[in-house]
Amino acid sequence: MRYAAGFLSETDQDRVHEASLRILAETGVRFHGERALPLLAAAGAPVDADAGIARFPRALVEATLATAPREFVLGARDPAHDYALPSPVTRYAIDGTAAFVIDFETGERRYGTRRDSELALRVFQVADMGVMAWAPVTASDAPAGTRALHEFVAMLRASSKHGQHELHTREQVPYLADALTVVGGGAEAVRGRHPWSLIYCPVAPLVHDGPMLDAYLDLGSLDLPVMIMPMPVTGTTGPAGLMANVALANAEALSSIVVYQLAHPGRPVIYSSATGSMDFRTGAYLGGTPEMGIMSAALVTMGRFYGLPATAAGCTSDALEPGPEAVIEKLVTMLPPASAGADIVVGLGEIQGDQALVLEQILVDNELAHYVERLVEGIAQPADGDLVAEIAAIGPGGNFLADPATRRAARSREHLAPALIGRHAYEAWRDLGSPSMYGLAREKVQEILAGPVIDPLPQAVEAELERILAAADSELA
Amino acid sequence: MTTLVEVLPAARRAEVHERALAVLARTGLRVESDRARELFGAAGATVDEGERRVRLPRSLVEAALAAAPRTFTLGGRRPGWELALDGTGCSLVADGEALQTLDSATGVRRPASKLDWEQSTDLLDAIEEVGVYWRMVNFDGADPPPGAAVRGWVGEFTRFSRHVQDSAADPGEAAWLLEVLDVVFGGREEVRRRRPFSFLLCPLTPLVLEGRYTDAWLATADWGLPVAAMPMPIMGLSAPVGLLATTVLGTAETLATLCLVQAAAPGTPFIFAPALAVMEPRTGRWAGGAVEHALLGAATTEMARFYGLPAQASTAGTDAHVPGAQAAAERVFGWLLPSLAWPDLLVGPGLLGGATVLSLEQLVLDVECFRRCVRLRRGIDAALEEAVEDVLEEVGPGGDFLARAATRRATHQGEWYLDRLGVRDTWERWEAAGRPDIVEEARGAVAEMLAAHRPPPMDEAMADHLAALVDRAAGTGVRATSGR
Repeated sequence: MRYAAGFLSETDQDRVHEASLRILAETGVRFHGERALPLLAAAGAPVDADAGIARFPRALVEATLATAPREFVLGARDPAHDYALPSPVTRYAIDGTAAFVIDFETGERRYGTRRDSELALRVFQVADMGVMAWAPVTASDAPAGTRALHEFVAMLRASSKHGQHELHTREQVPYLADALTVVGGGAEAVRGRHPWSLIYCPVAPLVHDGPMLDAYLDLGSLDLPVMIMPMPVTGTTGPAGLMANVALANAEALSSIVVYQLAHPGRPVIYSSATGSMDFRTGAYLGGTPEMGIMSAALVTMGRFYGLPATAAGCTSDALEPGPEAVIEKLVTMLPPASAGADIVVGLGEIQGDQALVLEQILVDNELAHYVERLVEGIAQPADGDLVAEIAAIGPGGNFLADPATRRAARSREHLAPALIGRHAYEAWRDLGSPSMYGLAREKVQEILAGPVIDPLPQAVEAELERILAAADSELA
Repeated sequence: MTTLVEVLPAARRAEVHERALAVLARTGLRVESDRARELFGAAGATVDEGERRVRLPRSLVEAALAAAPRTFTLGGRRPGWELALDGTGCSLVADGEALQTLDSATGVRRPASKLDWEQSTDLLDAIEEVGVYWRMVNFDGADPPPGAAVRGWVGEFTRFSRHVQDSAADPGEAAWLLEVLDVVFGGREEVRRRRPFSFLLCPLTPLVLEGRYTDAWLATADWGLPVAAMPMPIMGLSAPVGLLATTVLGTAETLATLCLVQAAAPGTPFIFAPALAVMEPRTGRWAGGAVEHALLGAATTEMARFYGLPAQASTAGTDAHVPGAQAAAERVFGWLLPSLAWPDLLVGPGLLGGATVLSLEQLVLDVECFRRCVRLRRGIDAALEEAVEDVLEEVGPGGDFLARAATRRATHQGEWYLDRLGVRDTWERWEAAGRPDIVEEARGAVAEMLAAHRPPPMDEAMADHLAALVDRAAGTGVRATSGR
């Protein structure tokens, strides 16, 4: 059975909720852009048009929370990868929009490109714990005005799992809508199956970006689900205390839900977060800390408090290179949200505070995800067998190796068989050439990239995507 | 709130207890010590002398549980130092008994040496999180028994100033142990009062109490040394399959040890310490780094709490042969759950290769992992220094919190864990510094600690007395003359 884990008591959940409602009602939230404030004003929220600040009455928050769907399926281009929310197990998303990549061939750290996204997503495609693709790097080789479109399309090409990405302006909306419609087989299919979603990050503290929010509201016509990911950092864009930072993140999430539900009642939203801490020695952002892990878990708990699909960033690391430090930090930020029952933890494949993609890290993190899952599955009650009789049959000083139950268990979920972690005796390990987790992951990446693209898009669709991007490049330049 | 984890819900803990009682009543144990069988019989157990089998009724187990103290402290040589085993703290126990060392300077695995033993002991004393000492290495060239044990204890009480946990192999060696304790701590009553040493008693699994080893503890029974009972059932090998079944067996063996200890010396402090383990199903070896150990370490702690006894969890070995990603992964996932379950004592940092290879760098890295686990355990504090609503009203949308006094205060009050190892710099500065990695950093930390550390000084007369004791033990056929 799953073990029980608690990060916020029921009293504390109520407290976070009440504090968030007061923040929304008293301090309010600043909205840039054109669409949100009129929607809020029409719904009865007091709006200070000069300051761009809306204050949210409790009843408005409650009413809009009520229209957000409690369950839905994140579809995938290949329906075998459809992922129903909420989920009884935790699965993973690749981390997204890093500026850099550690080049797989040269080891050099350089700006990311569309090709890097495609390579990484081909690796992610075979990572069995991964259910949600995200363009893992910013495409430095694409024009600024259409960069997000190029990243989105790179993801459509390389992954047939559920895909999530972002858009920056309203002008980009028609091109994305065209691309999704082409790949998804029509607008109705996109609306009905939800194969792609949007990631939305409010700007802490308590600000909503204008062009992005407006674009996302426009895309409500395709019913694209929105993953709402507040990112307050304790000590800089959020208060110093973890509990206060959790309340701020929750308030920002609620303010986002209100707007999306006012615009399109019933539009799927996914509760998420990506909190961080400040490094006191430099003021820099840190994402791989114990504090981040427990805030993620606490916010997953708040997502569940509202009955919404609940996800969080995790599996994050500030290490500058792949290795033990990355692994320590990733586990410390994975296990808490997974223990809290997150539907999805977002973060496979990147280090340097989500700023550098490493292809081997995708598979190393996938292995860590299996370990975390084994932990979360807990200690099973055997379906059959009498434990006392079994011990009596062997007796004092006997052994259980030849017991048929031992053979059965070796093939069961009772024992996790690792893929990259070695269990060899020293001599065997030495004779194998001293394999390491990252070394084995590297070999596997080479094998994946030497093989065919899985679920490639039909030629005609590829051509249509090229046409759409070319039009966007020329019209939005 | 403190982060909570529970791998065995209350009903399951009660079930483990009931099944352990059933195993003890039905199958019982083979007890190879005559004196122990005698004590069990006098306490109400059914004894079959022909089979040397002892079956324990429920009432005997319950009486033993009632006789054991719920909380107590462990002491050591360091003046004023003590460790309360009362559920409030969690202290590390060094992992022990490696035969090889991964040489820091050469990176080569080689047989462990006396210097490795000395350095590992010094390093452990320098690390405050390590409250309890286990001998990390055995090395070639040590004296034959009992010389090696006596030299070891004397060296360890000299170099390590907190609590030592160890065993004696037979009654003769136990007498030497008592003599060392007598000299270092000033007599039996002081040892009883300060509890500087706990006796590690490991039943042979499944369900056997060995003769000489059990007699060794019995020879110390009237000194009040705390006993840590550590059966080591290995699922699929010496324990039935299933983590629950392994927990039942380990619990039964620990309870049986408790019954003996309380029958021999009622009120003896007792630590619930089964080291529940799993076999690697492809090779039949002990799978030190297997993820299942984390669940078993948490289960051990929860069962100890069920009985109201101090908990010692053994978990998070690693099968990796060098410090690196796998060792880090196995240590962290092996410790996360047990440290959230919060045992009084957590075994153990510092070894690689399935607990066969000492690595001082790994020891320091492991302690860093533990510190982060402790931060997770501490959880999200509900006590807000300032109401978050008021703070946000003051800062407003789009503001920042960096310059606020509360942010500065929180940095000093532990709201953030400030790591002591690991790179926290920009890419450019890290590259300019030659890309230091955390293992190298740990190597530097080891060197610094070894250079700076001095254990509390030992009285000169006592040191002379101990040196004479070591010499006497090294001479063959010489028996201890005092200590009882």
